[in-house]
Amino acid sequence: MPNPFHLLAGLGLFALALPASAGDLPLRVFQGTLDGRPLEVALYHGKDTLSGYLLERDSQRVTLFEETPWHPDEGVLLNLMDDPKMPSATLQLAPFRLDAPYRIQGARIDLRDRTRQAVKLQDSILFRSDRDRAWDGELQQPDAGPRMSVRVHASKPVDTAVGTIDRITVHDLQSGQDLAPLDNLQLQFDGSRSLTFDDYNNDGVIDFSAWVREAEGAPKVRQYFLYQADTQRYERCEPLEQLAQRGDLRHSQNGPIQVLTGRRFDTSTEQWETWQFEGPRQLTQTNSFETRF
Amino acid sequence: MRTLMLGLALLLGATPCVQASVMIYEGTLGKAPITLVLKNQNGQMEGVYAYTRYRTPIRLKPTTAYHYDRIAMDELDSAGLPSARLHFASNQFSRSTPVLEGTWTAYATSKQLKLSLHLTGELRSDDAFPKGATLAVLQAQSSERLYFMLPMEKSWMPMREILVMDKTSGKQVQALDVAATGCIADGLDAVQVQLSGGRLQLVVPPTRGCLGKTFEWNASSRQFDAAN
Repeated sequence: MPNPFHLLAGLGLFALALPASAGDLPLRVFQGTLDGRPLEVALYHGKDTLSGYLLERDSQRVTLFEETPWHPDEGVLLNLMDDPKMPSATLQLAPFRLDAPYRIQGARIDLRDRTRQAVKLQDSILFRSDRDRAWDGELQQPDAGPRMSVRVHASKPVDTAVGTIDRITVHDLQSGQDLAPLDNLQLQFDGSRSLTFDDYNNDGVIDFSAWVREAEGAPKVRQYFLYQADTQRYERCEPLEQLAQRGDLRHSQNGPIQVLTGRRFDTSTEQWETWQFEGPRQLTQTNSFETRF
Repeated sequence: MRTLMLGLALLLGATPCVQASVMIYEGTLGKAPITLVLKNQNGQMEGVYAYTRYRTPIRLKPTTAYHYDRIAMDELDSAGLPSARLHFASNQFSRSTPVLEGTWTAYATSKQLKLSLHLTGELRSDDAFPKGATLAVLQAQSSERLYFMLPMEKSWMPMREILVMDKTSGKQVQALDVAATGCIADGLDAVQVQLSGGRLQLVVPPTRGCLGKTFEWNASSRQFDAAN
């Protein structure tokens, strides 16, 4: 399976209403230290591969790992893709297994000068979709971009397969301020890609959306959270949610929002409307057009 | 007896349940001639390359082959750490794209060299390119003076022999018969090199359906002798 982190990063065009996915579960999160400083590492074990992220808790700087082939009981080098072309460092981990609580020893090795910093990790939580396991914990959303550090708090009781996000916390790395948390949520947990990030209103600050956690069989609804400069907090954007109810949304970077309002198979045509934000909270239709498929 | 053992080995589970291909490229890194061998198995890429002048295999860190437009692989030094990064300008590794361009960048110095390669051979599970060819596949492990190659017509096949090659001359020193072992030639890590009691050993490790085989270097005859 392709690395979901890299897939998202590689897409130039963001679909605002992606179908629900299994996310990157199971995902094991470790707490530990990097040269004595607090560290969080999340590892997703795909088919014979590892991916995930490293979060330096002091700076809240998150770096994705390069997806890497891995076999249990073998050591691994996980490149830190702070530069997508040339990683600056690699995380060297001693052999370990992912099926039991354990500690992992390793080192962060600078690839330019070979400086080594000791890494000690202790597993803290395993996010998974098995119905017989319950869990409750926090998880970073590493696709938030360079300015915002976004974490979700989620839980899953026994006898359900899908976790529920009830709180989202955001730290503005530029100002160093914690923004007002979003509480009392009922969103679907999909691992470290529970939130989809995009600058929906083209204001230069990343926004996000997520599926509402509905009962099985209920129609899928998406909630959108946009950064509002006047209040300096994220707020739900109901006009965008109403637009998403009418059809699939498309948004290209710095472009308008397009909604698919109809599809005619007899003429092989699709009907689209174009909308854009006229103010921080108001959407206005600017165009409609038809395309062939 | 040999045929029986091989058949038994295949029945015991060493059946090819994987889709693998092995590609052999020749060309230049900067101005230096090299040979690059890549193996793609179930979406995972392994690789090894060697300068024609030195013939010492340099291992590449395995990676996944899912990326949209390009693939990068790290060159590993003798300590097993990334020392340079090879960027390939394409993620297509097959006879349909015989030219492979890219760059090689050293981590320590950021020095960059051009990679310019062309495909000279490809092995798949059912055929070879050029058609009917036997390709000598470079093995990742070597000794100070020797390197090793496996003659192969498919990407997964019973191992027949190991070619022992001299790094200085590039000439074959010996061909070791391993056909009776029931072992499988499947890429770049079929043979292992180790020192045992100060003696150089070449090992085909036993696996399910494979008896394994160990050869020991005889300094007086300058040949490997079977040790088991």
